Parts: sequence; structure tokens; C-alpha cells
Amino acid sequence: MVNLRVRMRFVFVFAWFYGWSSVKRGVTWVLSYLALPLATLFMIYMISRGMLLDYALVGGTLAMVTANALGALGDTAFFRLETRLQDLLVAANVSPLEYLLGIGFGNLIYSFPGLALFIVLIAVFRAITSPLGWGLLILSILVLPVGASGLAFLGGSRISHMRNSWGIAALVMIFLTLLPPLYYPYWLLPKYALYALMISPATPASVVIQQVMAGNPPSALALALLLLENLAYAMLGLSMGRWED
Amino acid sequence: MSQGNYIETYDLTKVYKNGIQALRGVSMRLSSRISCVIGRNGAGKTTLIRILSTQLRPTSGRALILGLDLIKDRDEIRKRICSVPQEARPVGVASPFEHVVMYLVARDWSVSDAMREARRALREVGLGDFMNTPTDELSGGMKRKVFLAMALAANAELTFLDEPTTGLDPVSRIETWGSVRRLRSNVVLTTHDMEEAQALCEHIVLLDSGKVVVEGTPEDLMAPLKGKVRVEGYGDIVIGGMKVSYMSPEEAKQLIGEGLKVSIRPVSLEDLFIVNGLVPPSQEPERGEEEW
Repeated sequence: MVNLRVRMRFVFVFAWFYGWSSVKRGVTWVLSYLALPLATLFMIYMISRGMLLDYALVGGTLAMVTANALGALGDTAFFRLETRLQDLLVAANVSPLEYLLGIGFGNLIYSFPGLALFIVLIAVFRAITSPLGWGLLILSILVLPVGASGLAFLGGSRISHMRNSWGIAALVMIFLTLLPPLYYPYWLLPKYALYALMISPATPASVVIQQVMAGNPPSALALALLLLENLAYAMLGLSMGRWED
Repeated sequence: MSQGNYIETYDLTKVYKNGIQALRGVSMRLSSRISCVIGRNGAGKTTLIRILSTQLRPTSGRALILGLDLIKDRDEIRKRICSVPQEARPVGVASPFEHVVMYLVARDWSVSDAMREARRALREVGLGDFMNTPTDELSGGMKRKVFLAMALAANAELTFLDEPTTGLDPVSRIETWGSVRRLRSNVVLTTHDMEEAQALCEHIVLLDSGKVVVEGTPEDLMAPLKGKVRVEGYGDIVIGGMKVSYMSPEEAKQLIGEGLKVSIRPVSLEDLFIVNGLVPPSQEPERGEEEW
């Protein structure tokens, strides 16, 4: 049975330990995770002659938050196989949910410099103008790290050898953040492809925000999917991930 | 729980999914302040300590930790123990201070108490000047001390240390021994370093192929070899192609007088392996496989 005990004090302190120390002392990593969304933004701007700039800005924000949380797949494997931090925490009575939330919030802190930059750009270029659009963006920023961290924990806790972890993390990040309609309008995709790409926790987030950006109300189905899919990924991580042997 | 025993195990076994039988009915009782589980690589030391510190479930058998049932009372046990895993390494971007604070909060400490105790413990293990340095800038010995500071600060009733000095240089090793002695809790540590066992342990469990071969105080275990020396180059026991025997110093000198080319060495805990029919850790070939 999944242990759902949560002590928020530990979650925040772990997020500070894992996220803040990375921001403070790992500037090159911050730059490296910013490089892909910024380069993609530039390419989309050039190719679409600025037409798709709004999509690239919002998509870059969602992709960055999701990719950083998915990147925890490598970190959780590293913490389990190399540093043995997971063993240390298991024996200290930390629950897997506390660990998962700590990783998720840690990634949010870690993403903060990039998020701040993208949010400023979204405001400057008026990619999102309505309060509802901003609300959905903030909701997505809070929800995506939880679902993506669930997937990361599931993968990272099942990997047997470190040599595979970073490669798998990179593949998962590309598959779940570059292919889905984050940087481009979702209606360009055939229906079947959109449904298939809903496997990414970021796809429904992008769909509802793009709907609002186009002046339409957000689809209730996509909104429900955003919440339920991320909850489901978190639960999947907790129930199928390896915490104690 | 019998009076004073902080660990009691009864026929503990562990069979991994790949069929490897790492423990084969381990029964023991520990009550000394520092107890050592010694054995070669692959003897089952890490499996045993991971089971006793609630990180791994046994396949069968029973154990009491601080009088609590290993399976039924896991959460309660975890509140009262501290376990530093084998080859634990700090996270490079985080400082020793951040590590200790995070660990203490994981153990339900308030943040302010954790910060105060982290500073005290880090000073005590000699990391006072480095408490805010990223740990990837610290030496191997200093990195190990981060975990000892965690154990020191946690002030648990029972501390498990799995091979705490593996990979350390001689000076760091001795410093680590000092930190282990400073722990206020009872300690169970694993090692394949006999010098370490001799220096630290009041009770020794010799494990081989997942079974307890002998256990007792170093004096009790060494009693059969009391007054004897190890003679290399003569005898019935063959270790790594070398003949070995045990005899009184006078008998050994007599052999030299007879012109035999032999080396005479004082006996140590390593000889426990030889007299029990095992290859001592210093003589075993390099192994690539993971410690069980």
C-alpha cells in the first residue's frame, strides 16, 4: 500500500536542499536547461516570421517546467544508485510521497530563473493577456512538476544502471516536451496524433492555454485531463516506483 | 528482547530475485556499544545491514531491533535508528550544512533546531570551516565526515555504518574512527578491514557466504591463537599458494634454526578467517561483482 504521509516541512527543506543548491551553485545547468527553449523560440520566431512567437513563449515555459521535472529521472537514479541518498531517507522514515513532492518542488525552484525570464517575455510580448490565461499558466506550472516528477521517480527508481539513466531521461524529455504541441498550435495536429500526444502531462496544459489565447473558453475535458493525468502520473510513480526494496 | 540486546535475529534469510542467496539463516545477538560485522566481499554484510536498518525486507526469519519487530514496527524503528549506507556520497552541489539540516528535518526535527545542531555536529567532526562549501569541493575523507556529522547530530539510539572507511586514505580512516567513537549511540558497522575491526569493535560477527561463522568479543575469538604467531611458508593450511601455520614463538624460532625459510608475524583478526577455513580479505582476488 502506498504511504501517503506528507510532512510539508520536509518537502520544503528537501526542495531547498535539492533545488536551491542547484540554482545557487549550478549556474551552467540553469543555462543549459534554458538553452533548448530559447533556441527553439528563436527558430520558431525565424521560421514563422514571428507568427508563432506567442506559442513558443508559452510552450517554452511549459516545456521547461516539464523537462526539468522529467530530468529528475536521472537525479533519482543517481540518488538511489550512486549517492545512496534514497537509502538514507528510507531509513530516516521519509515517505515516497514526501520525496516525490520534494523533488517536484525542488525542480520548480531550479526552474525559477528560466520561468522568470519566460514570464517576463510572455508579459512583454503580450502572449497571454487574460487573467484566465495567466491563471491556467500558473496552475500548469504548479501541477506539471508533480506529474512529471511522478514519471521521473517511476523511471529513475526502476533503472538498474547509471549508464542508462541520463540517456533515458533525455529521450523522455524530448518525447514528452518537444514532440507535443507546446511550441506550436495543437490544431495543426491530426486528431489521432493529438490524442496520442496527450500522453505527455504538458499537452492538456498547452491545449487549454492555447484555447484561451485564441479567445475561446478552455475545454473542460482538457482541463480535467490536465489535473487527472498529472495526479495519475504522481500515483503511478508512488505505486510502481521502487522506494524500499 | 533479552536484557541489553539491541539487535536479535533469528534465522534471517535473503534470496534476491535473481536467485542469489545472500543470507542463509543468520542468528545473532548484539549488545556491545560498537559491534562489527566482518567478512569478505560478497559475504552478505551489506544485505544484513540493509535488512536490519529497514531498507530491505528479509525473505524469511525474524529480527528485533531495539526490542521492536523488524517488519511490524518499521516506522517506529526508523525513528530510533540512523543508517549510513555503503559508499554513501553527498550531493555535490549541496553543502555539508544543507545535508545535515535536510537529514535532521527528515527525522522530524524543527528547522531551527536542525540548523543549530548541524553547526555543532559539523564543528565536532572538523568541518566547521567547510560547512557552507559545496561537497564536490571536499576531499574523500571530508565527504565521509558529512555523514558522520549526520549520525552525530541525529543522536539516534542505534547507528548503522556500512563500511564507513572504504576508499579513504590512512589519515582520513583514523579520523573517521575518532568520529565513530564519538557517536553517543550504539553502533553496528560492517567492514572487511581487520585493522578497523580491531581498533573499534567490542563484539565481532564473522559472516561468510551469508552465514555467521563465529561471533564474540575480539579477545574470545582470538583466544585459540593466544600466545601463538603466524608462520608463513610452513604448515598444512594453504592460502593463495602460501603455506600457513600457527605455533608458539619458540617453535617458530626452532623452524628458522632448522634452516627453513619462513616468515613470522603476530596474529591478528585476519587470522580468524584462516583458522575458520576462509580466505582472509587481504588475500582474496579482486572481484567485480557488487557487494550483497
